[in-house]
Amino acid sequence: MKIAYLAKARPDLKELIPPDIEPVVVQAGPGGVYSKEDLARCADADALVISMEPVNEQMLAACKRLKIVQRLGVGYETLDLKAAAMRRIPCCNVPGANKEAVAEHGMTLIMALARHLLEADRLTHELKWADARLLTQQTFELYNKTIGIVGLGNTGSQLARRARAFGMRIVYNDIREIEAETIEAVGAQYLEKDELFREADIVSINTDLNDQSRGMIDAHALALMKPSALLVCCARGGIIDEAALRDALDAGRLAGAGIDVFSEEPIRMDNPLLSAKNCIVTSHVAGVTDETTRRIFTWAHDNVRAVVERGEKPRWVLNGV
Amino acid sequence: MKVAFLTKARPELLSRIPPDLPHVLLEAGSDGRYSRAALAKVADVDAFLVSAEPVHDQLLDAAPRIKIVQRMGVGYNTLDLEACARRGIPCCNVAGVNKEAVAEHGMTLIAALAKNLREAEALTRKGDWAGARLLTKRSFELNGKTLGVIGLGDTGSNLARRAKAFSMKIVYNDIRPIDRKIVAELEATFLEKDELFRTADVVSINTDLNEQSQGMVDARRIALMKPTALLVCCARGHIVDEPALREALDSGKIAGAGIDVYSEEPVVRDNPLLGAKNCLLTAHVAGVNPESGVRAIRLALENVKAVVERGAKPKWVVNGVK
Repeated sequence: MKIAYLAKARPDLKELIPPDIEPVVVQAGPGGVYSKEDLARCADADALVISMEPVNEQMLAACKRLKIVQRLGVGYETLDLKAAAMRRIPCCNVPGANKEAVAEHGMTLIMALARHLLEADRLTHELKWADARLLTQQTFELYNKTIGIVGLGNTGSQLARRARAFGMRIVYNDIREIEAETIEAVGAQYLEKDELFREADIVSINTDLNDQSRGMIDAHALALMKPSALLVCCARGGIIDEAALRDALDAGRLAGAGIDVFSEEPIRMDNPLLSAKNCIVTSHVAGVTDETTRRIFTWAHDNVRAVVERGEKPRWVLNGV
Repeated sequence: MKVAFLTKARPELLSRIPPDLPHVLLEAGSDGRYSRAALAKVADVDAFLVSAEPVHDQLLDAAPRIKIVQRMGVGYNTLDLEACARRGIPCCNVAGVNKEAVAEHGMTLIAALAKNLREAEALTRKGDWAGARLLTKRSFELNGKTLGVIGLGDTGSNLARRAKAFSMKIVYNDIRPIDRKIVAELEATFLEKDELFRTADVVSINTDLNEQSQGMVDARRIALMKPTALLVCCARGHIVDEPALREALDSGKIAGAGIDVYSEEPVVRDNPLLGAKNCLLTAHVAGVNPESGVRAIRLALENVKAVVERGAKPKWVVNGVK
């Protein structure tokens, strides 16, 4: 079986690809366009396995033997689902493979912000004990606070479960209907978005990137939040207006932010969040730990093998094929 | 009623003293002794409200009217309990006042270490995206890992409750028997100390400083830990052997540590943990935040007033004086 991995070259990729696979690794150039040479290398691939590269008309037309497009992760905004559907090629993700990891990362950012952990560690290392102690004046307990979760899906509900154990009250918003069982398990209360932004001490974004979430956290939404509130996003870039967030943080209209995803990735050095006050940035790693990566590769390859080697129906189809 | 606050001058603390409360402020010298001028101030006070200053014979002799020695926190290793007991003076803490805060801080250190947060953030900030992504090879999920809690009291059990919501398995050790209900709720398994150090992916110290905990985390016990394991201590200094921990971190015998308390506080320049590999340090702040501070002073003053003004029995006595 031949698989084309559409991925930025990563040093660990080789060891994650099963030994019986004939792999090619290609990545898109500027504007999401693939070179002729790369398209030729993919022509006889049985499957496309995707990190964050686009799967577009150009790539689909080049792959004559293609049977499945498989994402190595949950989001799928780089896949042209319709173009694949027209060719009867299923597009699949691995939902839930990293829900615990993403929830853990979100909670980590929330805790680190509430405690000013990185600054506290720096001051302590610099022997500025009194300053490190005074910093606690800006810290707060999560106990009895309200967390507002936008998107109570796999990762959102996992985050809620953890926040609940911290004695936090859970409010949420979701464009889909959420199962009663999920809501009851975390004692969550539904709020309209604006109301959620007004009430929450911590706002966490856990939605997909879609038409309704794109640009959702804009200057208007930020202005509704408490000046003592924290904003955390481990979902997708494009949901938060980064310049507006920087302005809110610098002006003290928001106490802190923890951001794992950016409008442009890798992050550009002129990204406004790099100079913002009380902003912790990580590099789209919420769902990435050694174990999670292995789990995702295993699940993705199992799904590809089912289709290509055994002619079975794929799991987790996103485009109705 | 007149009280003496035994504390280093801290603006946030001073702002919380009720304006109508007659009081004096004093602090000990670096040798733990009080100056003559300081001692003169306590001749007519009814109660000591203690931050982290010592209470011993020298001070007690100068304060003949003292009816209660009240800590504005949980630990009480700066109080000479026996010297107070001989005089029939109860020593009290505000047990549990910051258990949520300390548990949160412990969990914060654990999560930040598991995700290599400090380094991940520094690399991202520098624009080293690839380096920050590669760092994830060393980070791990807490999901399914084992947390070993030594001291399943107020803070230990609160930490365990949070860790359980991260789908961690809980093992524990305690020199006291623990309420069965708590053990059952946490589905916690008792392990002998050495076994706990061998088994846990994360070891958290949540004991008092006492004869059994002093020096408990020494080179031998650290050597029992997994090379991937983390050690967190938000309890008291002198429980962890700092040079031994430094050596273990730098040589990769364990993967990381988060430490809030030290053998000497404030931390001194030659503390071996400064600059140790994968070691997050905070300044004995686990239980300190504006909310817990307000709560601690309020509860401490209520206890003092009950004893001094109403002759009631004190709560939270730690030296057996009824």
